[in-house]
Amino acid sequence: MSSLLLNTNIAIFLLAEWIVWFVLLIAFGVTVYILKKWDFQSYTPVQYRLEKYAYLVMVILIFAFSMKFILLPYFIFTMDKISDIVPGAMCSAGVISFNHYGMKLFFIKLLILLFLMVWLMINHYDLDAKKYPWFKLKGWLYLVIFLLISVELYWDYAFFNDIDIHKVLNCCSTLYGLLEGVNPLPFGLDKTRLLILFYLLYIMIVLSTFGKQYFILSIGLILFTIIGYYSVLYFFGTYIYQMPNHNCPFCMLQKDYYYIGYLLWGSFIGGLFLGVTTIIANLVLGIDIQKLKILMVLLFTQFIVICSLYVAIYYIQNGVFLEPVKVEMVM
Amino acid sequence: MIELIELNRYYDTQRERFYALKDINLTINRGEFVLLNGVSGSGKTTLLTLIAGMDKPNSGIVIIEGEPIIKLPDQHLSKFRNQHIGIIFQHYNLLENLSVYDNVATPLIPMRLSLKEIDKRVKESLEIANISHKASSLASSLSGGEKQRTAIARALVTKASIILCDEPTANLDKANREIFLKILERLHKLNKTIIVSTHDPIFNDLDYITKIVHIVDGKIAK
Repeated sequence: MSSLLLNTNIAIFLLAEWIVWFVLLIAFGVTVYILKKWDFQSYTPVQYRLEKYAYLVMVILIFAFSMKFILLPYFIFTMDKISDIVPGAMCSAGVISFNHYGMKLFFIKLLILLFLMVWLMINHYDLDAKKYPWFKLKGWLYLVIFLLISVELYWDYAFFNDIDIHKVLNCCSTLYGLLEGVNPLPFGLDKTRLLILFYLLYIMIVLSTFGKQYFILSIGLILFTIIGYYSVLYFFGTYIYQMPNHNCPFCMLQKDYYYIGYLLWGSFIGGLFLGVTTIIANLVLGIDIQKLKILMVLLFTQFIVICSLYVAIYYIQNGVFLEPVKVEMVM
Repeated sequence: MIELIELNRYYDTQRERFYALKDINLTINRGEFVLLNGVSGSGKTTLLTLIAGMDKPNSGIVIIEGEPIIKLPDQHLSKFRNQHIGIIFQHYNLLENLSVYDNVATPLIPMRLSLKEIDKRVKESLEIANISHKASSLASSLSGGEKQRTAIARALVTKASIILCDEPTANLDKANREIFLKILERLHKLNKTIIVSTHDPIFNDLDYITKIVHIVDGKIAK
């Protein structure tokens, strides 16, 4: 067992994850039982008991899912904290890339949050209708979520246990730094085209959202996921750090940058998840949720405004834009 | 109309199953005045709470105005109760730190009415319940009879078609009981369905009672 597991932040994080998992395990067992015997048309003692259990499970899930929403930022915060004690790491980027569990753990956490958001949306509309029309759908979705959370819990342990504090890690400049002659941007784009696409995709998402063009919205969200990430990493991020060659998605989560990364990535990921939830609500439940759409657009707008403000403020203060300095990596 | 079909409510203890209500079948038409009679512990209050949707049976169906309320999710059940059912509790359940007016206005908050409409309804209800003169008094400063009348006004303010009364005269003196009966008669004339759970013999001689249901050990006596 790695001594790192005894680190206060990691211990708290893992303990919290275990508690949530244990609560969810109980809900899992009850949900399987409910799904096997559920018959809403029936007025038998068994069905009434199941309806009471269903209410109990729902309360448990809402509590546990709320905890999961808190635990993701805490996971990132924890990685950031341990970057202080692991040699070579300057931020979470180095820690998360230490072993093969890191990135897949991060992505499964994001996937779980997306599923939780979809579950919460289905649950809301299931209760809003009088006859639980989506009860079985949300039940099965929960079973999938529980399996993902079980995998996540194992990877949580494996990830932290596999970090050797005596090994030197890569820092973010090694992981995300620009190499001479290599274009890191997707689809062969240059920065100007990347930025044009960034703002165009935002406009496309807003228009397709309120125009109820869900196919276009889906395409827009997929592209914006990629373009938004690279825009922050290779353009807007440099203005946050005020260093033309500092490309890192994680450093901005640190105190030195006023934790702006939490707000920035939170708006971005939150907007994406709400977008996906809106599409699923429309395709699966046949419901057009105006509130979700407005919230999604607000989050994306907040994301765009934060990004743009950093550039604008830098330009106003210095009268120039940042230009990257070309460096050659010496191996 | 209220329909109770094969209604059972029981509690399992370690040794046995205790039936608070057993195989209850009852139909109450709109505008009826029903008396639930029986000794303490016979199941009258349990029956009222099931009709009000404040508790769920172990089996059986409660249908009110065509809606099987037992199956409604909580938020719908609360809304349904708010719109269709007024309850007068034995101990009134008033908010002691609020005025009579505010107590009566409280059930209207979730209905999102205009202030003008709220004011109109509250004044009407206070008038029917004969408590208008105490509108600005704190509930904590009222006598038992006045609290009772405030509770009546609160039950009426949502224009509920069903009024449930649980031992309404248990804490009243003779004069206040008379006043209460007069108000009930007035409500009956307004075509409200009224169900009173009581073992007070004062109700037995009322000529406007349409049905008397005797409950013995959780069952309707034949």
